[in-house]
Amino acid sequence: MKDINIKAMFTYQGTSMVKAFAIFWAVLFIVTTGIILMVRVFLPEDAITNSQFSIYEMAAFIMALVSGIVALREDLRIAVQHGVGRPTFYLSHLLSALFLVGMLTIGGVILLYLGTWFLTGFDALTIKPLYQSIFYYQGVPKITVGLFLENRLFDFGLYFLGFGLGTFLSLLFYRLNKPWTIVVAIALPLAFIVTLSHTSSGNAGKMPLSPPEMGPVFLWMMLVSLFFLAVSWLLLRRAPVKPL
Amino acid sequence: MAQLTEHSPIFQQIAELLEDAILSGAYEEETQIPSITEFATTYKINPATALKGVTLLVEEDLLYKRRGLGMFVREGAKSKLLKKRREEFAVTYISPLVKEATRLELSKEDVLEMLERRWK
Amino acid sequence: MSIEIENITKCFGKTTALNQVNLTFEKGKICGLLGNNGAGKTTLFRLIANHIFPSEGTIRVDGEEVWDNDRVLGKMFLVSEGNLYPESMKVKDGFRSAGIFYPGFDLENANRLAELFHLPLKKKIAGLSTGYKTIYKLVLGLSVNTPYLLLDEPVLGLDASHRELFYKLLIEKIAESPCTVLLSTHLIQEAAPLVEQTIIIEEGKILRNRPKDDLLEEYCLITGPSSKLEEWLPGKKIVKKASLGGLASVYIEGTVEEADLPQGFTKEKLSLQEYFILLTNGGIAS
Repeated sequence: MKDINIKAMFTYQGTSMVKAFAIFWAVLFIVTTGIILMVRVFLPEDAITNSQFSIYEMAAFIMALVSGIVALREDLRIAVQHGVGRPTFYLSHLLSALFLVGMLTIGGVILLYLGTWFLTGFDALTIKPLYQSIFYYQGVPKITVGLFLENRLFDFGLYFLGFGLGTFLSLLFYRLNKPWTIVVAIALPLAFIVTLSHTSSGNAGKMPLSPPEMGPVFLWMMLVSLFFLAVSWLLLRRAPVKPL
Repeated sequence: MAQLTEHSPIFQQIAELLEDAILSGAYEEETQIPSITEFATTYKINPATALKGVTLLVEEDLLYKRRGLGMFVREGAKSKLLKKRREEFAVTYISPLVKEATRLELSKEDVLEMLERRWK
Repeated sequence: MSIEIENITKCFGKTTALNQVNLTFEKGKICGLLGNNGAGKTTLFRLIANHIFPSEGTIRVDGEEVWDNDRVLGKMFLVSEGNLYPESMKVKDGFRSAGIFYPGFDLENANRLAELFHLPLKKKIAGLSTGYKTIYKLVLGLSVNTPYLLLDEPVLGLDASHRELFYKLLIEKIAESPCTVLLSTHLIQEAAPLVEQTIIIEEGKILRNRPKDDLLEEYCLITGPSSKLEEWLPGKKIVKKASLGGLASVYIEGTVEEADLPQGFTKEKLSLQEYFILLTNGGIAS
């Protein structure tokens, strides 16, 4: 049986994940602070508005997506150049996913609380977690432990889905030949748009969406992610590795 | 450094060059010769090949190994080599000379006369 | 033990790059893989290092199959064309990464070699010239201290003085800490003095696999006056003939004693390059 040398691979991947996350978080921090400052400076004291914004989660989803894509391209090559087999690489890739998604989730909480603290006493602006934006459209519910967990599960599931999707897309395009790449590049966004319009038309009369059972939703998110990751492994296991 | 030719095994050429150095006194008796690594890097050859050449001389008791130090020239190697080369002289130099002289249609007397004139 | 290639066939679409190759690389030796461009050298190396998978057959290193086998893959390092390093990675970062993956990596040595080659540590690998990209990989290869070192056309793109330096450093490395070296090249005369086991590959098939000195005993070159040569030839296995006016030369199988040659004839042994060209171009049935 093969011996696995996962320690080295994860050290390498984990380190680059930490660096990427640090830069990401710093940027989001600056942007969020910028928005808060601008609003506080330019909005008169007695203005009656109540704006809510949630940018972190969407940015983090994209970050996870891109990380999934890039990690697969770059780190796979490093693995193969340094004598690490594909199974070990992929295991490290999954661990790195959990690691990154964990960091993104925690980082989001920290930013949320920091931002909220900056905004204390200033009711014109609120930072709203994405989960609450979707399912508690109006109003600011009381933050219970339950709601806190629901928020975090949603975030974690979303980011993990992003990473899984990124991995899948990366491998898909890696293994497809040119004509197929074009077909998929058109079909995938098309399918996404069609699905989106279908679900939103189906829910047209139901805004705001009622808070779902987060448990099953989280499970669904993870299953879809794992599906992407499983298919990705099938695409990876006999993949030739070529220089860029 | 003298170049190696392509037309005879390298280890033999190394051996010959070592013999020449001992004969000329460049490598004196009971002194150390350069290491295998030095030979290999100077001539850009495989260290194993250099070793093979050195081993040939060890087998003829012209070189010996001092534990922890390296290869040394055996006492009496020079005279041993002289003897060997003298025995080989006829084959190495005389026969080709006769062959070439015959090809050029020179007589034995012609050659002896040249020898007289050039022997200093 | 060492590297065993068993019945390896590799096809890329309709092209067969390697065809039923069977081969064992001897441990501790410098094995030269000689072949023209497109002969299959790079494909073989990439299979050994599991960058790609074969269409048929298997490869074993020290008795174990290489596929997805970290323990065995960690015993070798492949220097080949093409850059597998991230766009943003700098030379010194590359050294540090090598240290993570290869416990035997000697950073001090790598830095020393980088200085000898004038390889800038702070520059991005992707931004180096072709020659320096190769030098970067060579420095790694000479510093990882793995039991197997696979060098696929290691001096391609290097100027003359860098080539000299590389050969010198390779020899020093082998003399100091022996390992098995697989070296492929189409610059045969340069590599000839280094090579022990000689493997000649052509169009995906192995033509020869013998120690170099044995190989060079297979044929010799006889030169002499054309008419006399014609008389002397019958009974000899002729491989190739050439003539320059009244002077003719012929490559024959086997060897002849100088003393047995008629007046005016000369015999020469072949250099490795001459042998290779004769074998691949001279119409000898493979």
